[in-house]
Amino acid sequence: MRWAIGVLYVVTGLLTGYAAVYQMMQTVNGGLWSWSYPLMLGASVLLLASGIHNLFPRTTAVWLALIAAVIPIALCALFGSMPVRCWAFAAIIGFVTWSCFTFAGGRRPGLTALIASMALIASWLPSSFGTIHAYLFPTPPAANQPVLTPLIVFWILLLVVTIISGVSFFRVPQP
Amino acid sequence: MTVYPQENTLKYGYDSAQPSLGTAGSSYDASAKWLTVFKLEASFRDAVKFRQFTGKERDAESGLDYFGARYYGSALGRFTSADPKMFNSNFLVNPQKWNKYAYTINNPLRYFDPDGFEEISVQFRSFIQQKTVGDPIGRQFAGDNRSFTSAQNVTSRSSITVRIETDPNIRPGNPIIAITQPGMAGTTHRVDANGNSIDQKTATTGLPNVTGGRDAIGNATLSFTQDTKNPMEPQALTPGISANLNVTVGQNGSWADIGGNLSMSPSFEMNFGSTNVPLNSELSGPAFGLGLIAPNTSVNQFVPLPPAPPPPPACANGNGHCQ
Repeated sequence: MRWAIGVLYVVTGLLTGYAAVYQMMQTVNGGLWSWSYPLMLGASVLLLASGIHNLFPRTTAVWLALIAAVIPIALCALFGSMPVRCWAFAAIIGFVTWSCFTFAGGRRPGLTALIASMALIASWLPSSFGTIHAYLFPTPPAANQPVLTPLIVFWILLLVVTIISGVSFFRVPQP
Repeated sequence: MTVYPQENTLKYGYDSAQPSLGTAGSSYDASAKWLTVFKLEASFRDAVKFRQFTGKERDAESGLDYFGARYYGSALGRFTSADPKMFNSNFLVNPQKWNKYAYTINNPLRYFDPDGFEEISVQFRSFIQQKTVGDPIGRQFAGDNRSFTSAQNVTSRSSITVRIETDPNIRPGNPIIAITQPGMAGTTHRVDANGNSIDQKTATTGLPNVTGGRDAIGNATLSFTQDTKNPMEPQALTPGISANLNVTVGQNGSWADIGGNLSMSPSFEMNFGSTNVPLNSELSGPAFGLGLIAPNTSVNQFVPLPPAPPPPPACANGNGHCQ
């Protein structure tokens, strides 16, 4: 069961992380920027680290933090540019990951995934509202219709992850 | 079209780098650039010996220019017979159209009538409304800095124009006469903080394409596809300017239906041009969110002709022969 949950976390983290980068990159086509995108990417990385921890429970917080920090650095390397904002983002992600696993992850294994899933839900709300708004109030006025299927798939994944991590968090007795 | 003799040869009087139907010395009318469909520039000097007004062949005995459906008398400045096309609702908005003997509603600087019949040009463009846009790393790229328009003197991220014959009796089967402006992607310029270009690259894949056909009752159908990406970004991570549009144009060229999918950014527009219908259709603007936008738009409104371009200034040498 732990292995299956780990796979679910990793897959969800990868998919939402890719969606976060994809939506960030819409800005090069004139798409609108939102600060929910970096939050979405950071939460995805945190969920990915949580999945790795489920798959390999002996992995220490330091290693998980390093893995989390390497991901944005690798992304920046793909762009061929390493600005300060990239290093800063990697440092923040690494620190948050280390903090979660050091101070809470050991005693409450579901906490890190729960934090990540809640952050993902919060970061997905603006995109979801935007998509639904485009569905209801298209510009220009016409019978426009966004394809809602990707949105539904992501929300199903997020809700499943939130429920599983929440159950895992609350099931563990308090020390 | 005026041809000026010079040095025992014939030159056409406009800048071949910016072709238009204007005469020598005329300022570049970007609207007429859309009319580069004639493709006269490359072989014009040789062809002009046999082809006269807008490249059509001139009958040596009658002196009339053969346009396929009709003969044009360049001395008269009129066709010698009426346009055989039936009168339709399009004509009501433009009294110039009532003259069935005129060439391109007496506006040869702007319009082109290749065979004496009515035709429709359909132009599909994407553009970025902002002046500059950025990526998550912080790099800045030049946008098109414009809104929806049918004007031709504007930049676009991608553009393709197809000229079609809407009447299946004239052109059965594939209505496409020519892709008058090859599918292209606007060159992406990376800019500095002041907006100055510091690097540029042009996409070579995913460029817009169009195919044509007819539906069961003979209406012209067009299928536009593209997935053009910023060539300066990692292709796997970059959402494309993607489109999968189906356009149906009525047999009389008076209406069009547009359906399909578009990416949520940037902005898309479709321009319909004929001798009597210049029309801009706003397909979509940038939307915030995930997914595609599926326009399902009917284009059946008509707008009056835009103002005619200003008359060309007189030639500097004053003898009527322009360099």
